Amino acid sequence: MGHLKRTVPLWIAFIFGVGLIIQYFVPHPISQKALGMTQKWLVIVVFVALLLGLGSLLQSHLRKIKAQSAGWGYSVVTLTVLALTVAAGFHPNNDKPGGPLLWAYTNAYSPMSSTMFSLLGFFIASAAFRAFRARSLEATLLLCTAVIVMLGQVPLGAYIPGVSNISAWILGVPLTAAKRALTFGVALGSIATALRIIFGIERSYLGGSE
Amino acid sequence: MTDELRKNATRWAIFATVAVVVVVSLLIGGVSDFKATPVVMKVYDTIEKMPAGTPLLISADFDPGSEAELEPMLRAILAQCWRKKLRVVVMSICSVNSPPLAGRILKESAAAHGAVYGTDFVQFGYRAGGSAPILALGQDWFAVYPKDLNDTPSRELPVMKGITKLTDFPLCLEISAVSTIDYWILAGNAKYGLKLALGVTAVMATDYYQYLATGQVVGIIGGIAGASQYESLTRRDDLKRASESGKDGGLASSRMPTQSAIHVAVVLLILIGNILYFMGRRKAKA
Repeated sequence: MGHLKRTVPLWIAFIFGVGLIIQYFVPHPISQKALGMTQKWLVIVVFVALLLGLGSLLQSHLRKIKAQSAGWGYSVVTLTVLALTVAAGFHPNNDKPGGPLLWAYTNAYSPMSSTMFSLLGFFIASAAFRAFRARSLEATLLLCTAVIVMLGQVPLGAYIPGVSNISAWILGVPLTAAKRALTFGVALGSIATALRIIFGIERSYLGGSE
Repeated sequence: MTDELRKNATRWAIFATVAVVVVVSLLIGGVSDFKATPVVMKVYDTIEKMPAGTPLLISADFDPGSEAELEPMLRAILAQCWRKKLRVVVMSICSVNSPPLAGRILKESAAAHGAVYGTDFVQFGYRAGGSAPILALGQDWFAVYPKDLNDTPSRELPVMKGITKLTDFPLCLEISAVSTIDYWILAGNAKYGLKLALGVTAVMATDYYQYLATGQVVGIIGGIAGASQYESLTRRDDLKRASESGKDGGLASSRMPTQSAIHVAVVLLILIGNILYFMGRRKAKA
């Protein structure tokens, strides 16, 4: 059993990891065909992962309801809506105009989602008020940059001499340099982690204590 | 007044200020005429150089939360596509929420400009798997999308003439509010050399400026401000109509006065916060 849980996944990770790295550099039709096949498999794996996610969601919320732990009422709402959405999916006109899925999407999901996003404006204003304080040289620089970029993003900035140009320079030079450094750092970290997984050094994805 | 009470009072005062500024600026209305920046102009120029009949791929990857920012952007780009008589192909890799939104905008915009489904434009559905569908589209479009959203076989659509894979599109416009952009850059651009232009929410725009200098992305339209700039290039008649009638018209340029007012309010709040901070520090020292 341990063999199936540990050794087999490690070999699968190794074969597919090394295989797809080699494939990337081989333009031969056989290599391209192999890529096409693995991509189809990937779509199937993603679908199975969605099913697993659904199972996990059910398990976690049912446990909460059973134990009547804090906020269990929200779990009831979540599962009820989930059941209704799945049921709507079986309706013959589910995605046609007037169908139950599209109706729920237009009349419930869409306005709720927009409302949630709109709240951000209030929180950003509150956070800016509290966070942008000229406590040190670095904080003052951050504050000035934020103000210039904010004004540079609206037509008003065009009426304040230099704001648009400075804002464009901040976005094009220091921001790009910093983001590029971050991206390279993340990429190198990702490569290192991928290699650790491919060669079986990193095994936490298998679960358990390792 | 206790510290907790003072904190709550400050927060509520800020929330009330934001609400008042939004409501008042919406009531006053108005239409901004925002000159396009070079970053936005690059997207416009790239599309403008395309001859009539060129296929343009649009990946509409947004949901209702970001609709307010990205809908006017898509409409402004579509107005240019219809005028240039380009063939528009729309798809989604973000979520099942994207196709209904993009479909509505596409249909309304096409009807207003006389574009015909199947000949001038087509919409394909959502495909899960992040970069997997992009990689697969690079090999065979019809394997990923054998049918369009109306269940018409893709090969039978006149709009798909000459298109067999991703690289048959000279440009892909990714209109997104999520990290699907990374998939397009990594799989679409790096793997297949697909030229990309981005339409993103304002908070995301700064993440992708780094790809402009490398040429991986030809241009970026960022948030309502970017959409407003694009409208000044492609929807001048609509701007004039909205300005004269005083009606919103669903234009980003009608939302810019509110955004400008909020930006100014936030800057003022920051200033007030700092004045209070220094006053408190002086008092503490005394």
